Amino acid sequence: MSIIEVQSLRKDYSTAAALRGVDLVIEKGQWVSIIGPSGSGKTTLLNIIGGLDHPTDGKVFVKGTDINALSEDELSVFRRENIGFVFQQSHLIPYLDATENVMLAQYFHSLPDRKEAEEALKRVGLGHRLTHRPSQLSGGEQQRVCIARALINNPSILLADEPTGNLDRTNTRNVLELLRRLHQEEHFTVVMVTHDPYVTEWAERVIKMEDGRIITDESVSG
Amino acid sequence: MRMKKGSWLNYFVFKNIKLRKGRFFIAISAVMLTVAVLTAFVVLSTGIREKMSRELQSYGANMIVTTLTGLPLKEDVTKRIVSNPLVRGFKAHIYGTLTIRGQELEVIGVRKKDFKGVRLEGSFPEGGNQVIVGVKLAEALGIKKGQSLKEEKRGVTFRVSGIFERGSKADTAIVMDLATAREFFGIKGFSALLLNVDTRYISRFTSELKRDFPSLKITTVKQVALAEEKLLKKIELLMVVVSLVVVFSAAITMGSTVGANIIERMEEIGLMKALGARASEVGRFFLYEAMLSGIIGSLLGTLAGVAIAEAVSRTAFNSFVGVEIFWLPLLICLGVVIAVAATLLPVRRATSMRPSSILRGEG
Ligand SMILES: Nc1ncnc2c1ncn2[C@@H]1O[C@H](COP(=O)(O)OP(=O)(O)O)[C@@H](O)[C@H]1O
Ligand SMILES: [Mg+2]
Repeated sequence: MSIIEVQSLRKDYSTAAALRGVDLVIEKGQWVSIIGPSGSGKTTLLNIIGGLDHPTDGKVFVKGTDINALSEDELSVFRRENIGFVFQQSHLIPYLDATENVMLAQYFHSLPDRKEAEEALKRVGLGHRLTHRPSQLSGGEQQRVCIARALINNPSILLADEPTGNLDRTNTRNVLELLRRLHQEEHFTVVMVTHDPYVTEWAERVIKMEDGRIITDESVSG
Repeated sequence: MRMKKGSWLNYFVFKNIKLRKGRFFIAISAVMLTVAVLTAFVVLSTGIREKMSRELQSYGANMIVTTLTGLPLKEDVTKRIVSNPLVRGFKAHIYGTLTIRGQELEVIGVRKKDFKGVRLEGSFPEGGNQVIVGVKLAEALGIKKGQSLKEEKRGVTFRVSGIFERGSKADTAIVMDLATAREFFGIKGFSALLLNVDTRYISRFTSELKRDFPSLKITTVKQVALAEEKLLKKIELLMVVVSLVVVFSAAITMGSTVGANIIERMEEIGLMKALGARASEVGRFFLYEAMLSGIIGSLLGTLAGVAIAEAVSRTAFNSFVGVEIFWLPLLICLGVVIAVAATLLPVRRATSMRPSSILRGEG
């Protein structure tokens, strides 16, 4: 059963075209990696799927909903109900501690719940960092807070844009292992953008982009 | 363990304020300054008419009341007129003539306390057959202080207790004490009543007087009344203009403070939207903060404003002004409205931006 369906997607910026006709179907529960050189349109594609940006042309269906037909506010509600984001920069709120950063996501979704937020942080291995501010955390720890925040409202889709882009090998491995465990437990769909081939080793399917187009699309076993 | 939405909002906003004390302080100061200046102006301009008109009493009478018949004004009529609250001050005069050295000379009988704003060499003629003489008349007739003057019709001798100078046509007259004049001329009541009436209500007052006492002759001193009114109008216009400028510049200060704050927090705004916040839900954080700075700034501002008004009043009028309390909540509301309105526009613009353009970027 497909959860994301992208049809002839185009995105033109005033200077150049970022997407030149992308068609893509992603199955529910799949872990998909999108790899490609810088400027190939990966972020643009991910942002449009997540309703953070609008396409110039084409359609995006998420869980059967044509998200281009939604208003800005409806898109917000759609995001809080269905999607968790992890970005390359952690985008944590500097004056809130780790737990409170997770609670902010709860706040916009429903109600903040400290216990639940702490549980989520423990699951990503940050039980000892609950009241640390982002500036007091390492890069890997920050990304783990972001994963906890992205998953706190049980989204059906996790969209990750170079989540390990700022991490070294060891931390990259740890974060990806953590994500794999959570993915196996909770069966959400993962779409992860990267330019690092190492990261694609965790994916069930690797899509290669270049110059705003998909050039290969391979399923990998294991 | 679930937190209420409201208490989280509090918590969040206060944590942010703690981090950005400087910005919050600037926002408070902008509101405070505005409200202080507005409060000072409101307090002064409500107090100032009263102050000014009290000051302007020294400008002199703006209405003269006599009778159409030329007979003296009766004592009870006089009492009723001057007890009207629109009458800010009054003088009673008695007019008559003395025949001295073959000439009929004008005499004004006046109470000592009403004989003000005059340069007097000698002393006011209290009791007995004493007079003071206007400087012009004294020069013309060669009269000196301490001399005696013989009234030729009635054969009474007056001693000149002083020479006065007013700088007006009164300087050609003789002045005696009201009681002496009454006795000498045999007048009960007064020849004329010089009133200082609240200029705003001068025509109303005139028509009331005419209705109640049809036999009165009422002359308004137009120049005095007009000058006073013009001056007040000018002061009020100045106040309105200054107030507008202050409100305008405060809104700009608030707007740019909030603007800078928002630019700093763009990433936060983008993140909140990515987390599923509607534009209004993001705006709520900023408006809440604006409201706080508005309330705190307004409270401090009204206090400061009253203090400024009192200081100005003390320097300018040598007295305190009364504060009409109902203005204060109004001014506090105004401060909050300015703070919120100045915040609304930049927040609207920021929260309606696509989150992608804020959050993307590799560096
Ligand atoms: N806001 C923008 N305005 C103009 N061009 C943009 C904007 N965002 C992205 N682009 C361009 O679109 C292309 C694709 O960008 P992006 O999706 O970020 O690629 P990737 O994530 O694969 O590096 C690039 O050429 C980039 O310069
Ligand atoms: Mg990118």
